[in-house]
Amino acid sequence: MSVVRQRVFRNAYRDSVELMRIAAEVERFPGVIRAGLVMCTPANLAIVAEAGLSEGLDPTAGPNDMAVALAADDDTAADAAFERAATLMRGAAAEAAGEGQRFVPTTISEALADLPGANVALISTPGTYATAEAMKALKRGLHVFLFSDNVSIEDEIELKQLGVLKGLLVMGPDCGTAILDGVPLGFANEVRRGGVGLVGASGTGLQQVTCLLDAFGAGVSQAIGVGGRDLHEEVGGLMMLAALERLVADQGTEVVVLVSKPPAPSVAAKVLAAASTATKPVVVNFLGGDAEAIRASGAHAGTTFEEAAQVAAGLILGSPLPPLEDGHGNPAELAAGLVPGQDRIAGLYSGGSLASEAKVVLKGLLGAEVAGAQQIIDLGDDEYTVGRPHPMIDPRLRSEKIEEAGGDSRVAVILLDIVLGYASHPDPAGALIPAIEAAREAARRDGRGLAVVASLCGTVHDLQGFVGQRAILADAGVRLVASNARAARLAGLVVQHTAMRGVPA
Amino acid sequence: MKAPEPMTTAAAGAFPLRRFAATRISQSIGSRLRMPGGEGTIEGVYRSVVNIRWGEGLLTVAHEGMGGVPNGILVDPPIAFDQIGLVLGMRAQCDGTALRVPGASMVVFLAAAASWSPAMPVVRGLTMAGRSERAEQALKLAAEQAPPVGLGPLLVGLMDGRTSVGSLGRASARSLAKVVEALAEGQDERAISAALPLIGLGPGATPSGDDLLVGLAAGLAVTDHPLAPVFAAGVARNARGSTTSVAESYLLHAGRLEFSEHVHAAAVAVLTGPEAELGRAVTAAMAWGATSGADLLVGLLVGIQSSAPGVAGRLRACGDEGNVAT
Repeated sequence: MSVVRQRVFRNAYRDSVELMRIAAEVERFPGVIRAGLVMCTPANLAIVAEAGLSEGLDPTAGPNDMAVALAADDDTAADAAFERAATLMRGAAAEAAGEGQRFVPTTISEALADLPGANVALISTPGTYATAEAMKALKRGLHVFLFSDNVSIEDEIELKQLGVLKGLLVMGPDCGTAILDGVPLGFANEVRRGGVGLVGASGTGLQQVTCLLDAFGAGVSQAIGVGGRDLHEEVGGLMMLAALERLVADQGTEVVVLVSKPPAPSVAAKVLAAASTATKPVVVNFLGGDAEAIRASGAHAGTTFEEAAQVAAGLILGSPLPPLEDGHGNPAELAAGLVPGQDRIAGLYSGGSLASEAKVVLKGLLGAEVAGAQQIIDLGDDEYTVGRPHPMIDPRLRSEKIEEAGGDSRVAVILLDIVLGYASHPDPAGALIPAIEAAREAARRDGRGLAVVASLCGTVHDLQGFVGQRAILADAGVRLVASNARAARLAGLVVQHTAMRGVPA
Repeated sequence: MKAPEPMTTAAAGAFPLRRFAATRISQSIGSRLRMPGGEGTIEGVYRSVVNIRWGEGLLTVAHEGMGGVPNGILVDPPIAFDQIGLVLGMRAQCDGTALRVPGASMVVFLAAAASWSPAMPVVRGLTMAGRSERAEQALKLAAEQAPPVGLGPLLVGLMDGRTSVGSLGRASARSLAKVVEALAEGQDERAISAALPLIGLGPGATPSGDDLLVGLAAGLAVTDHPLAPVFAAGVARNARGSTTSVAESYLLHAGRLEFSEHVHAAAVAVLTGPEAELGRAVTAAMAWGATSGADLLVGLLVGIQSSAPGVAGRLRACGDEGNVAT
């Protein structure tokens, strides 16, 4: 027999997101059947009553009071859930009020007064305000890590020109990743320190290269994101050039890696000219770019993120390196259960640069026409993130797409990236398993096979646990390979294999 | 044995005197505040805002960066209020020249403050079609940034006509559709009755339904809708005791067609601003509170085009029980 109980918190306010988060957590508590957390306005109490959770509610509860109302298996479960709710609310209150924590500044001036030695400002305001804040930071002599997007290219140019003038870095706008003196900013992985300095106009590209360097046994001195537009004609690579100059001068950096989608030709020429005069080896990965032009400048070319990492690690460690473990996978084995008509890859990506790399790899392998017919989606793109968090944080949209792909009779391979590290979902592999199993089941019911190929972008030191994440995917029958480029290639080979054998009987 | 110090004294001892200069005072409260002998009680303390129960209303002291509030005083410098020993229940006094909270040694000097009008300006010169076109443009921008909670999904549902808007969105859309229909027919009492289920509805310190109603009143006011004064006043009358103090205060001022500065900015930008300014205004609006911006924009954008054909129908479609996840 279940019980209905409420607890009223007098004169308590929390914002709506906080209320819903706490309510969801209470509802997940063992023994709780359903729960709600509302301000006790008449309208909200009517909803609580409709949900059957109002019986016994203190009639003196008023609009400025907050109530946790729940149905639970028994009184013991209800009491435990109320305790949990109270703890969560205390936590939220302390967070809101800054209780028990050090002073949290609200302006750059306050922050500098509190920490006079600071030399970097991380700005993550809505784009409208970001330029002004970045400008203030630069004028106060701070490097800027600009996580915000929706900053106009005109503002970006102005900020970067000021940065150049003052000898400061402007990392961004829309910069997702950096590791400065070992401190990760934004989405970044726990990589070993070492002699490779990186500059990237590519967020997950930078993450992939730093993680693969770690896997090869090399370490990172600095990883400087510059924002995806830095190598556009209008911006002119201002920050890639400035960062390159810094890394060449940096005593802790022995080899420099530059990562970007293909730059504007004039900017590529400028960057390669600067690389050619560098006093340290420079490895250049312009995704889908002209490797010959890179080599002609005297730099080392890495056509994929993996190759860039392998070349850079080899330069640091003193010898060409053997390939990473995890092999390349066997396309014939993966194609075994496929039936006629399964000729498509569903590449469902959380990392934009990784999706771009997959397209480049598939184009090289399958040719432009066949590669163009594949479905390689960056689910972090603006069109997919309206009203919801980025897929590296929230796996729900990707799970939906995986299930959809399972129901599509043309899909032979689901291709995934699983990105670990700071700011990513705490269990990105585990969160996708139910969808992967549902997709497989849908295909099986339809008499089809379905291959799932993935790469893990992370290191053994990442919070999510690299080994555990790998085991979760392997247990679910996901074919894991060591890099995104390999995963894309394996998916392409599966499709190619089925085509070449006239599709298995 | 020495008796323990009262908490307020201990708090005051731990923090130096905090002196603020009021930079702007809302005209709506200025005359009341400058009369000597006023007294109130601290009811809420946040980083940038202090709410003081002042007679039957709420007085808000906020950092200048928060923008004008109809019931408020803006102050400088932006010292965090939650770090200076203000405690709920502390007494606040005003002698006409300064507002003081003796328990926390806080003083706000009023003399140099400018007067700011919270009355919503009226934007004229646009046809209904023109207003509607601009509101739709703003709706599209807002939908792109809408949060997945509060009435964010309703913004998206109104824009694309197919997104699931959730139970709160459906309930709000149904009520709002009835309000819009009644307003179109000139039925002020029916519009007020239809709005009542929205008062105090939803999560948050300012429940989503209240933010929506403030936005709706603002949309009607800025377009000089003939029923704006009577509708807003009717909603305000009914809000007393039916929602949180903060939301009630905003609704009471909305009842006099008085709104926060950021609501003015959004309403005017929607109707008159160039495209870039509209984008900035929508983005800025989305940054208000956790969901308040999205909630308020639903009301504002519906209010601006309340007489346009099809608005009520779209709301009804969003409020339909069949509106579930697509």
